Amino acid sequence: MSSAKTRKISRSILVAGGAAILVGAIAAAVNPLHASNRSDSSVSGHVPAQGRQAQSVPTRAGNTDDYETTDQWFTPGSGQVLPQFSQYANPAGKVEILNANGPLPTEGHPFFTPLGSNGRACVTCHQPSDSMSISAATARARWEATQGKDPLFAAVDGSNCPSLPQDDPKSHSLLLDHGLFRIFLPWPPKRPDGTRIEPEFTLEVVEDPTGCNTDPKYGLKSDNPMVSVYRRPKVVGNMKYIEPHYAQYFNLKTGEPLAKDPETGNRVSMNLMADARNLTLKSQAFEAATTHLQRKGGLTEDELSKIVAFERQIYVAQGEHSVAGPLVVPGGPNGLGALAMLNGQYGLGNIVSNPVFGFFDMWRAEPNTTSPRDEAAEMRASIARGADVFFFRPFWISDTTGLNNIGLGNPLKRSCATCHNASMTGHDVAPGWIDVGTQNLPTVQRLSHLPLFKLTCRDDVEPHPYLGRVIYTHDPGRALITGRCIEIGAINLQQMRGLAGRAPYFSNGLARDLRELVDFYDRRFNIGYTEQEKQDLVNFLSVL
Amino acid sequence: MKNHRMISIRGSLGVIASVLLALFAALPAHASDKSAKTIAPGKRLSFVSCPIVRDTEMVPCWLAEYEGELYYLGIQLDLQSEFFPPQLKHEALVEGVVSDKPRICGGIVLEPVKVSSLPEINLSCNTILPAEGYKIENARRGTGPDPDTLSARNQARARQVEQYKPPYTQRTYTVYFDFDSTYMPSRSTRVVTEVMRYATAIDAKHIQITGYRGSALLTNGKKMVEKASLPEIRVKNIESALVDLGVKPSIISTKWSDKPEKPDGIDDFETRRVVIVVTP
Repeated sequence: MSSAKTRKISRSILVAGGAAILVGAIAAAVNPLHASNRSDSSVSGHVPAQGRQAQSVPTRAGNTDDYETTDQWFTPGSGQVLPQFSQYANPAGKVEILNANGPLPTEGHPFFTPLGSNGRACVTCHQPSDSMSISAATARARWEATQGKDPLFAAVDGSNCPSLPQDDPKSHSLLLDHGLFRIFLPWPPKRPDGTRIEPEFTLEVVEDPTGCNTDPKYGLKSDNPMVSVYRRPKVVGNMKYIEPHYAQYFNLKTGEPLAKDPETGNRVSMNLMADARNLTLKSQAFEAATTHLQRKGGLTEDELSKIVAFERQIYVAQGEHSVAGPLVVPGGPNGLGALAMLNGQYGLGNIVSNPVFGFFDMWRAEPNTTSPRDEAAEMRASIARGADVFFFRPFWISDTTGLNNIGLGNPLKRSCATCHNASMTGHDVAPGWIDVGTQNLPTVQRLSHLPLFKLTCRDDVEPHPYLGRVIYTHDPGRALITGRCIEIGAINLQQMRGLAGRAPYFSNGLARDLRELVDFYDRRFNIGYTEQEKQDLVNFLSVL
Repeated sequence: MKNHRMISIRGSLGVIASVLLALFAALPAHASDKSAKTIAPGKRLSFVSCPIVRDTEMVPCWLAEYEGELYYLGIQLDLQSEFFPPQLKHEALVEGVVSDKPRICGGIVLEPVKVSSLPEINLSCNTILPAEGYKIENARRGTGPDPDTLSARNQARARQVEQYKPPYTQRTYTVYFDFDSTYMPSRSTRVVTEVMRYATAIDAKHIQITGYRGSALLTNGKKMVEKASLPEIRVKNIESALVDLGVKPSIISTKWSDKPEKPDGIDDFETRRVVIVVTP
């Protein structure tokens, strides 16, 4: 971090930052959320069971001072300052992290401080260098640097299962090879008030390569029945686009009212998590501390407030491309770079006058082909073509729960931006849990490293619209929270910013790189992209 | 209850269908061959069959085949549209009236028409036809992003929020459902929202929610009846939504019947409904 580039930020950031502080202060004066004592209504019903399992998992003596802080790794508890603006190298160039409220001394800040028993902090898995997520490559580098002793590899969820020998890298293969963390959820599911939901389906473990779903202590038949699935950490940043709800009252996907923040009564986007199990940043932080950090008793109101405030002031976007050069330049695209994220407007981006990621017209011109070749110009033209493919190129979108079954028809002929429709971030404002086919067989091929479940839906409930009543899946997704057959395999679309720094992609790490991501869609929807279109899309995605 | 039908639905369908007709473009020569069989305009048809999608330019159009004839149902638009396309992998219940208008996409135009995607999977419903020279022109939107009409429509709708003035009267709202479905798409949730707005604005004394079990008499004489559990689920979903939106639970009464409504083959889609009566 010491060599992380910093540069002058325009006065507008500082003004915006000041305004944010002022708004926060006003909110604190009138909002009961900011009361000094935490209300238990912010704790989702599934968390107590998770807490019991987390507390039962042994931890190593966590001493973060043992592990060196590097330019790319932010060590929990190191006390280093997070600059107002920083850039970090990644395979496509550099990602920008903009901390809108100014430089943050992290000493004692709950996002950066180990708060639980395993030595981790939030920053452990939400590294600035990795677009506020963490890549599999970084996990591997960290294993090498610490011989697997870094708290990142905590047995509770940084290994395939806590019962495995923790010194063996094979026990952490899902994290090291696919960037996956274990998410353990009570089964049957629980409502926000903790009461049991009667699921519409039975759940059987068909294959259990990690051993955790059949483990006598941690599995489905344990005293604290828990299902384990494996997911990638989402980006902590750009929250002004993720938190708002677009629809006034109703969730398009279910026809039911959007959920409410239990403390404020305000409706929420339901877009924070892959399965929408926590509705607010506060409840998400509480669960994360309970599970990932193995913190007993959750977080205090002060800790929660500081974490949420930090998460709301961080903006993430690629700022430089290794071939195209700086992405934030006068006269360049208006939607690139972290400052654009700060200044952008939340809304629906699947509109001609308001493209999801802004306009790239100025790069669309044919590059000068005279000698010597202008590789940067050619790359910029490719990026602009990729933006067009993303925004305009139609294909048949079929058999996708959450899209084709809500009145749009199956198949629907549209483009990527139909689902990736949120301005600036490209998630789905709807909210966006969709079964695009990354979890359920046969749309995804059997993934031998992941558990495989057989879910059998009752005859008296509405079946999954494209897979029926017997479904094989690696991760039931939203259905693990609601118990609904129709939602099996549905996962919230995640934002598309800072992609280059946080491979692999999809919630289960299915795509190792951006090319595999594009290839997945090409196969899944039989799109027939040309090689040029594929490369243009990859280049476009790498600058977001 | 069928004598309480809301003709506004039929009227709006007519307008939509008229607009769709404007989309009709020159038919290829062979299309007229298919019209050799005469189907009397005004004839009501109710049938279950696999929907068919045609890959026409601008946007796809949707068809269904019945007794060897192709019928045009509508085009792909978006959730602001009155017509919601059906789904491949599912049969569809088609309830419509034969129009005397020229064929669209090679199909006899059903207008008005209601199409319900049936919940169970039928993998034989998998036909995507090539364009074969058919085109859709001047549709509100194509296969790409919205041409700025969506935001304009939303703004217009926001401006149209009704301001209620006394004397307040009893109002009846109806939410219709697809056959054997409890899902409320945006056009249905807009009705529920309107109920909430009216009830809270006038400080309503009572809201009666009544669910009916739908049925349909098909043209071939067969009768379809919805699952008995659906009226209760629909009513409770709407009650729950209203309470969530801020309506006092104490003013809501609910009832439902698991006895199927009697179908007659005429607008049987109106039998699968929930009626909400708001009393000042």
